[in-house]
Amino acid sequence: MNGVWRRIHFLLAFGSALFLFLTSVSGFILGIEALMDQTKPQAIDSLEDYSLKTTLEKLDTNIKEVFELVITEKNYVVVQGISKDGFENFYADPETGLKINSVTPTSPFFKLVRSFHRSLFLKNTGRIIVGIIAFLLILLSITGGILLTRRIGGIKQLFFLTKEKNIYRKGHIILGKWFFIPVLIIGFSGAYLSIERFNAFTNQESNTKTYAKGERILDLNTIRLNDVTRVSYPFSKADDEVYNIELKDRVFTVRQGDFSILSEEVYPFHSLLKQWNYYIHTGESSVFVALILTLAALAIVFFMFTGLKITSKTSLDLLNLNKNNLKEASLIILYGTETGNSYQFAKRLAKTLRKENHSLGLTSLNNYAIFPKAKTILILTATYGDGEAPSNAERFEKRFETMVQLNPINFSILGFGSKSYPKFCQYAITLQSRLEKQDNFFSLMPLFKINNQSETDYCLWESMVVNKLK
Amino acid sequence: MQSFLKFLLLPFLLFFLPVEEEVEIKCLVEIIDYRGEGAYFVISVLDKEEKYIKTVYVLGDDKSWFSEMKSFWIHLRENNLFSDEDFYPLIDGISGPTISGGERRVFQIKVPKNLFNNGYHLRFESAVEDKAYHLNDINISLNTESLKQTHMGHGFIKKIQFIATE
Repeated sequence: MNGVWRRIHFLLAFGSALFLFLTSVSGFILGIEALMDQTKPQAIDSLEDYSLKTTLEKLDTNIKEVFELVITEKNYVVVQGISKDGFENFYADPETGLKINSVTPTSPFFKLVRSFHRSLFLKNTGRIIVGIIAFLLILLSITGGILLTRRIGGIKQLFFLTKEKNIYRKGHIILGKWFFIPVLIIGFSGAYLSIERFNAFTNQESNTKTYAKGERILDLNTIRLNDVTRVSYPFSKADDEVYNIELKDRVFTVRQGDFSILSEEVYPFHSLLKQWNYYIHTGESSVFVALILTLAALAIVFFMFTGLKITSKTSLDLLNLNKNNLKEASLIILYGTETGNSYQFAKRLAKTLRKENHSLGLTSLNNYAIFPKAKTILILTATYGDGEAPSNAERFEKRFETMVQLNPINFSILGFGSKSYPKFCQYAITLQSRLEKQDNFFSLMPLFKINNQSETDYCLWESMVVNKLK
Repeated sequence: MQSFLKFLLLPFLLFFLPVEEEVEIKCLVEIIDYRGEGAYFVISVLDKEEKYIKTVYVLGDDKSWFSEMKSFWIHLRENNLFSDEDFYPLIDGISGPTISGGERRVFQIKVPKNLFNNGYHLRFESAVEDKAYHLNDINISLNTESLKQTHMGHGFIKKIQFIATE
């Protein structure tokens, strides 16, 4: 199964690489922007401390005329109205009702980056592409997560240190442990926001109730500022001119003077879902979320880099195995490999033995079959996770049970592993004892283990094999 | 001594210099229900020959979209105002965010008093990305009587109301 997951994971990453890279880099820049925005004086970090009532009263005393009050996703309190500087848009302090700063347009650079992140400057085509990329990111993190837990030998191992020599592989694993969930969330929320953009969820109706005058009074004291999105003031003193008070989950129309509710509209579920996904995808209102997102965007770029380093030519070879002449060969080399090391050594061994004029066949342990002319079988195998078979050896033991070789077989096993794991070369050990039990299998020499791909040890074993086969 | 007296009087003289009197007009704009990007607006005072006299308000904070409002854009280009940084402060509230479909927005515009009740027009041009441009979404006489009425728009504006204070 691992082979399948690895193949899917690799193909997904390869297919989406360019777009994934672009959206990650732009996402990283936007994360920085979100962090910067939260350090501005107009970012109010404790909106829940203020009631709508006190804020409106403060604004009434300190601002000449308010037209509209908006609480943005960035926790900015924006007032549109007439201040001492005339009609303008400005950020206000909810505590004093005073102006902090004038609203200035977002910097053109970040605007450009945002537009790029959403649609790659390709309008709707781009939005669809970005949506697909987000969906692929979900699949990538799921297949990656499966590979990760298998690689380290179970979910419990997540909390232990990673034993791995190769720096890129180690980086990929450690990043995977830390950022599996954030990346998955980025994928989900990004995909949701893309689908939402195409109005996929507009079939749900919102629920509206109307009230008679004076039937229900809206208590502005109980409304906290962090639940408010917008308050539109009545245009004139006319009786049909009302307050429009939009909260996160509903909107009230309220009469002037006594604040009695005229109507209450509760938003459908998808609009809450959109807000939540926006919150979790942009991190605009929380330094913590913004920080995680920024790091995760950076992590995706590093995933791509380390992933590319791991994916050597070997992995490409593994995708299309060449069948060589196994039916005619007298010497069969079988390899079990997870990351391609054993395969590289198997190829090297095959090259040496061909020079010695052996007719040989090279294939993976999974392709074990009845080899009609075989007299010798050499096995090179790694161990996966907690002593299990590597991905292209998983079917070997089952096949070995059912397929009986025609001639007596001399065999030798070379195990690859690392002594930093408790179960050093465990799978090779398992195979050695299994093959020894088989009737017409004879061990050419004892099991040989190689620690951390030691070059000298391999050469030693190779020369022993060459001598034995002379 | 005389020059010293002049120097003393200068601030007072400046203070009593006639300032250009303006009419403050509070506007309520309601937008029709459409799906898509936010709308851009330009509000200008025109003379009888439909010539731009003064642009009093621009709604929409991205200059690059001004070109969508074709007539206004030609006016900007012909008079070389686009590169003129002094022109922009003339447009009050240039940083106002765009209004989306179904929304309403209240804002204030100021019109020089000599243009009021004097045969001039008030025009609202509107544009939405990928949708349309309306040259005369609203085009009404700029006088007391006209501003008392509610006007229906011809494009993205559903209706509009005013309160004028002279």
